[in-house]
Formats: sequence, structure tokens, C-alpha cells
Amino acid sequence: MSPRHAHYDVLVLGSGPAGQKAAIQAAKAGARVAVVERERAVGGACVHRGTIPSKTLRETAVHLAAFRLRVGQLQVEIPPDLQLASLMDRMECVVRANADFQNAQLARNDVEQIHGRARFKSPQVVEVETVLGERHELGADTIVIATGSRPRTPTGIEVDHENVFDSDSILSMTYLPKTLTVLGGGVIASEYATIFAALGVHVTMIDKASRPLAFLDREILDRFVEAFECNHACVYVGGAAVRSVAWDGVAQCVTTLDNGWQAKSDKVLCAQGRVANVEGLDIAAAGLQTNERGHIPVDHDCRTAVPHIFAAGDVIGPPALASTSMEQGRRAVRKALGLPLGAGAETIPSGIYTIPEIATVGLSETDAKRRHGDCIVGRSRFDELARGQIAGCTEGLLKLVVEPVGLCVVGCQILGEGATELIHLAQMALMTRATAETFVENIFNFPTLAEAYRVAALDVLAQQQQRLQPR
Amino acid sequence: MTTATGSFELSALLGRLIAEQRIELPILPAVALEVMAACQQQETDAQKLSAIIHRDQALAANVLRVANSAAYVGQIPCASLTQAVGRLGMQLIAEIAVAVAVKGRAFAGRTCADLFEQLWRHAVITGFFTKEIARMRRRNVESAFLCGLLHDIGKAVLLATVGKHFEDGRVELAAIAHALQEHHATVGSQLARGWRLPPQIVEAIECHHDYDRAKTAQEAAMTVCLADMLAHFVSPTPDVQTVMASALRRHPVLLALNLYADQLDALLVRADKAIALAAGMA
Repeated sequence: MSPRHAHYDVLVLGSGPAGQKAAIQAAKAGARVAVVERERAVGGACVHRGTIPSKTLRETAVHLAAFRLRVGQLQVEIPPDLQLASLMDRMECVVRANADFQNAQLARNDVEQIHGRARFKSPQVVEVETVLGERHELGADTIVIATGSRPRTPTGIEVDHENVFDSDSILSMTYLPKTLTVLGGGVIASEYATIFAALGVHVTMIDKASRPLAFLDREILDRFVEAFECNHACVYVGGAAVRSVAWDGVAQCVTTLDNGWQAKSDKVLCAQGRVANVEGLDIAAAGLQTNERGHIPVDHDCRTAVPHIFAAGDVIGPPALASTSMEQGRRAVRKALGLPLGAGAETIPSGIYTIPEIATVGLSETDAKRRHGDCIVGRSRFDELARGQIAGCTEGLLKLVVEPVGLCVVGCQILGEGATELIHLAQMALMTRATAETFVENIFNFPTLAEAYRVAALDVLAQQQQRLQPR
Repeated sequence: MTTATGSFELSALLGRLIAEQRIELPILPAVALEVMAACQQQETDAQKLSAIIHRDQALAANVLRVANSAAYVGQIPCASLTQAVGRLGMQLIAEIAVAVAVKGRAFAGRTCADLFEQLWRHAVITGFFTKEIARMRRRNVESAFLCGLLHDIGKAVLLATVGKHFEDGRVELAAIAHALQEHHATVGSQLARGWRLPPQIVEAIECHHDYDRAKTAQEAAMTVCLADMLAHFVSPTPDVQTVMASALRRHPVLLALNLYADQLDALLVRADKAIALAAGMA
């Protein structure tokens, strides 16, 4: 279908979290808006290949693990030839529902959807090529680039989608392998490694860093690695780079590290980062160029070097979280249309959907010591919580980081089921400058995992008391 | 050929035979089933796989012949199946073994030999393109070749039936082609279910002309639909209307698979490889 107009107030390239929110914000401000999406359905990688599908598989893995725990002595095993699709029977429904409601949201706000690939002809003009080869030139006062990212294929590793998969193709694997090597130590690698481990696959995780998710708190990481390696035949191999991945010609993939160590597995998942989708956009025609990491440079308000062109989401680089991408898209359009921006969220939580989950907000213990010279860290282990015992998520740990004098909450790190939800309490505490006493003086439901905050706060108060006692 | 039985009569006859379950469905050689099963087992190695294939000496010889054909062979031909497994890998040898077994059982007949040959050639090229499309779309390619290879197996089964009923050759090619086209998906999927093939292969066979009907493996059905078109385009057969470039480039399945013109061109560049593979598996 041809575009309804030749010129738009706001033209958004890509319909993932950033593009969608940018388009909705523009439409709500009364602008004539179109979204150009190269895929058939709106939603981007988040809905179709990333966040939503992997979390659906994760739910199955979590439920399976919980069921195993609850049935006690009964053996619950996954048949060796089980079709992976049967573990994701809800995935199609969930993905479709997400795409449908996003579609409806765009339609309701009168955002025009154009299916095709965009390419800049000039800073003001974008050419859209449809699947069937039609070409349309569209002008716009404001252009938002929100074309997302795709898995990076490292040089020297052939991702053939048969033996070596990337994070796009891994979920189309027809059956569950017995053994899997995961290359990478980032968020995606860790999430898939723990999901497959929970499904009973023997997972070897390999990365150059001595610990996965190296940007996180060390204590949380140690617990995470311990929990991962508690799964049968699962191991993290750090501190060595992958030299080659080759198929042994018979049945297994052989991953050789630069120290000579080899891992053999049925399949390999290559999850060594993502690259911005800028190829084919011809951003040079718009007067733009990428930085050394392949991202589009922007300022605090997501404005590029060309004043009427903005960029948001994975295409501008870290943190590349769906949550921040949405805010970037919204903020970019508000800036472009001269609308008030608001304070801007400074305390952005991070959620990692590993098994167990990890979430963090604000400063870690190390960061707090660096910034404030000192801090008090209250700890709560989930195995000391009634709800932790009931739910069987005893590996959890919550760390509440507070200023040493006023006891204001400056950060929180959580490992354990429900961490990505629990973290929002700490986020609110940070935003309201709440102190550790807040968690002690207020009553939480019992038994809940939120009780961890109270336990950690009590630990803070006890430590402060100790500090105040004369030596 | 003189026209004694037109397309309508032939089609009606086949429809009746299908309804009465009188179409003789070939049995997949047990060794092919064993090969498929062995590939899913961790303990299977080159020796075990070649031992399974060796249980059928004719099959073993044919697998080795295909493994040594221009489509696969390196500089030095493989002298044994174990060596072939080592060089081409278990999955590929298993694919070849199943393909060879299927060819011998379903794509062969004393009558209509040319048509069987055309069907087989088309099947191999479609299998090749199915795998290439899946790879281009960053999807798992493991069962893609078999989905494409077997998509028209119903035609082969019906051709065997037509051959038996019309041995005197009083039927025109166009009539056969039309009748086969009408019923092949039904018979093919019946056969695939009987052979207990994986669900994505069954649905690819059943729905490759009507992928919107596919319930669980729509993507496989769409992929085979395009591969089928590409195979007809790069290697036309007299029994099927020629696929014109303009029709291929505007086919709705491209929209369904979201494949752009340059991606279609990239697939077409691989036509020579597809044709070489078909020659190797002839």
C-alpha cells in the first residue's frame, strides 16, 4: 500500500520500543506521523526475536524447575527428542498479542504504518522500498532513527543456523540439544545459558572476562555463577578467548580457546554482542556517520549531528534496554516538537532475566565507596525469608547500599526470583531520598520477598549501631 | 498420446481412490527411519551411522555415490561411508541417506520414468532452496532440506498410481499434471504422517500451496512455497506452467516471508549450486 502522504511532521524509522513510543508521542502532540518498519509486523526485535520470545521460554524453564522442586522424589525429565516448540507453545500467542496491541495502539493514534526499508536520499528525504520493489520518497520535518540492532557475528565464527546459532535463530531450534556452548558473557548470553541449563541442557559458557556480567556487583555475580554451576554439568569458563569454532564433521561442535582448552557440544550459541542496524540506511546521505562502535552519536536529548534528525534505542548504543529505549524515543520527539522534557529519569533500573533474575538500580557497593568514600551495605539472603523457603528461591540475595551518615538509599542489587519486580521499591526509595529506616518503620505483607528490604535495612541499622559504639 | 482420459476424469478418479483409501502408500525403508532417529542420539558416531546404512547395501552404495558427486566431493573421493561421514558430517550423510531411500521407494517407476525424474530433480532443488531461504532468514535450517525435498512426494505417489491405471499411455501429460497438482498435498501429508515424519515436514507438505492454513509450522510452509517457485523458475519442467520473473518478484509469499528484491537476487545467484546438487543426486 502506498504511503498516504508525501510529507510528514515526524517520520520514525523502526517500530521497536523506541520507535513506537516516539511515534505515539508525536501523534499525541497532534503531528502527522508515519512509522517505516522493514518487518511485516510492528514491535521490532524486542517483540519478535528478543525480549518477548526468550522470556516466554524462560517462563517455561522456571515453571519446570519449580515443578521439579515441588514434586520432590518424583522424577521429571524432558524427553531427549522433545521439540523445542512444545516448550514455547504460548510463545506465538504472546508474540502475536504484543504485536497486535502495539499495532492497535499505533492505529488508534492515527500513526500511519509503512512496510518497507528506509534509505536516506538527503537529510530531509527518505526513500522507502517495499518488499515487492515499489519505491516512495517521503519528506519529513523531523526524522527519528530507531532501527534497532541485530546479533553480531564475530570474525572467524561461521553462524550457520544449523550447528552454530545466534540469538535470533536459537529459538527456532527444533529440538533441545543435550549440550550447548554459549559464547559470550553479556546479558543475552547469560540469559540463554541459564534458561537452557534450567531445561536440563549441559551448558558451557565461555567468555574472555573472568566473570560473566562483569559490570555487576562482585558478590551478586559470585552467587549467580554458583547458582548457574549448580545445574548439572554446567560451567562458566572465563579468562580465555575463543580461537575457533569448528564442526568435528561427525556430530559435535568443537570450540577451541586460545589456551588450547576445548569444549565439545551438540550446538553452539554465539552471543557476543549486537550491532546497530544502520546498513542500508545510507546515513551519510543525511550528513550522519557512526562512531567507532558503529552507533549513531546523539546528545542528551537523542539529537544527532543533524538538528532535525534524532536517534533512539539500540542504534545509539548502551544501555540498549527496552525500557530506556522507550524513554529515549519519547524524549527525542518531545525535544523535536518543543514540548517540555521533564526532569528525565536518572535512576534507571536494569533487569536481567537470567535464572535466577538479577536487578540493579543506583550505586553498587564499589561505586558508592568510590563516590562517597564509604557506605553501609545491608544484606538479606532469601534462604532466611519465609517466602524464599516456600517458593524455593533460596539462592537469592538483596544488597541495600546506603550513605553511612544519613542512611539514604543510594543503590540496590538483587539476585533471585522476582528481582526485576522487587527492584522498583528501591528505585522509589532512591527517587524520594528514603532512608533505611523507611523499610523498618513500614509494614510489608508477610510472607513476601519484599521482606528482604526490611531484613537488609535492619542489617544496615545494626551495622550503624556498631559503628557508633565506642571502641 | 491420444486423449482418452481428460484431466477432469483423471482427477475425479484420483479423488475417489483417495477417499476410498485405495492409494498405495509406499513404505519408508526401515533403515531411513533408523538413520533419522540415530541422528538425534548423542551416542551415535560415524561407525554406528555407517553400520546402519550398510544394512541396506544398495542404499549404502548410493549414498557413497552421491557423497562423491560433484555437489559434495572434495579433491579425493571418499572410499568408505565412515570416511564420508567424517568429511561431510553425520547430518548431511543422514540427509543424503533419507533422500536416496525416498527416491528409491517413491520417486521411481517403470512407467512415466521421465516424469519421476523431473519430480525428483525439482524436489532436490526445492530442498536446496528451502535450506538457503531459512538460512537467509536466520532460522534453524536443520529440517529445511527434507521439508523441501518431500514437499511434492504426493505427486510421486499419485504418479505411481496413475502409471498403474494408465499403463497403456492414453493420457496426456497436461491431464496427469493437473490431477497430480490437485491431490498431491493431501496424499503427501497422509504419507508423511504414516512415515511419522516431524510435524513441520508434514505441514510443509500439506500447506505449501496454502500456507495460511498451516497451524503449527506456517513458516516452514511459506519457506517451501517460495523454494518451490524458485525451483520451477531456475529449472522449469514441462508439467508445470513456467514461472515468469515478474510473477516470482510479485508473489505474495515474498511479503509473507518479508524477503526484499536484493535477497531474492541473492537466492537466485545460488541456482547453479542447486542444479549441481540435483545432478549429483540424480
